[in-house]
Amino acid sequence: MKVRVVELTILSEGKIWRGTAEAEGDEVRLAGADLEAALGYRVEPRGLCRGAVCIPTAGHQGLVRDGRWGLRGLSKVSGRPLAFDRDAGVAVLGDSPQDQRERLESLEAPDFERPDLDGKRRRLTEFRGKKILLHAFASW
Amino acid sequence: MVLGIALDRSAEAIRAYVDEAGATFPILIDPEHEVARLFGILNIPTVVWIDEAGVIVRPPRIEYGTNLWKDLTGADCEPHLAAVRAWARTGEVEMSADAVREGQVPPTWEEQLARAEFALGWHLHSSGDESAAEPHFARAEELAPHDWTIRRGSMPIRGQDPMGPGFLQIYDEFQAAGRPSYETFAAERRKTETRSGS
Repeated sequence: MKVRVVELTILSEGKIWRGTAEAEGDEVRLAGADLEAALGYRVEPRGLCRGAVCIPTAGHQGLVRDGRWGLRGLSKVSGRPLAFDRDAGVAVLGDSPQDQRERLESLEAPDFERPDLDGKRRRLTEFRGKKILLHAFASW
Repeated sequence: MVLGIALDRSAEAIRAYVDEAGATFPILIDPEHEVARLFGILNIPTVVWIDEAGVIVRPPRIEYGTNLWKDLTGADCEPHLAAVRAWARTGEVEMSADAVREGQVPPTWEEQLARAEFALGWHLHSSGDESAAEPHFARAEELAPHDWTIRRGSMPIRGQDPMGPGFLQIYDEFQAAGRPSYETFAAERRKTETRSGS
């Protein structure tokens, strides 16, 4: 199959990365340095590591080719769902059900940063020290 | 304090509601549904209690601020409001940490993929590529038809009326399924695990 260099945007955990990657059929592959910049995974002999946690990559054929790491392959080994629009060159790597479950059951309120009605960015942790009634609502 | 999270396209989309309610608490806009993703929010209005140390002491639950919709929903806002007052005054909470943990809804693969598809749809839409966005919203809806933040929440973005036929369809499905709540999903999924021995 033909390999092309493409522009790619990756959204993951509230962050956005823009760069280039190699597309081949349904797969899109990133250089190791870009994998780390986009998603925080360091390429180590043990596998793909973030902090102390490593995903073993041995035996996963096709995950890496010529030093480039495939997003579909990564989705498979990490258990993280991938939504990918090849034509638009945008990928979203979601949270695995297991990670999300662990987050919920830790009972630790995850921090986030969102704009208020005046466009000022606010973080949940700004309000630490107060009891917070988080109230999700919408116009719909 | 109350911290409002609007699962809406923009500040403009909710400003009229906020003004009418005379809300004095901070309201943050979350078109990407980042807060929904992090806290496992599936519908609105959803309330989560977070204590002074940043610990979740009550999991996501549907709770209303008034009884305006009581005839339709059958939900009385008063017990929750009384519990909020007690918590604010004395720090007393009704649920143990274990009960809060068990009250969280363990997500499914489909729900997690649906959230990713929604985020992709929103990104494409907000970049001006509405036709590229549409299949991703449609896919998200297929994957998690019971997630109102996706299914009904995407309607205004997709040019659909959130009070129109699409809403009636969701409402009928919701009725036919026995009006499932966070409690229902939490209990069902934990029961399945026990049966499968994990």
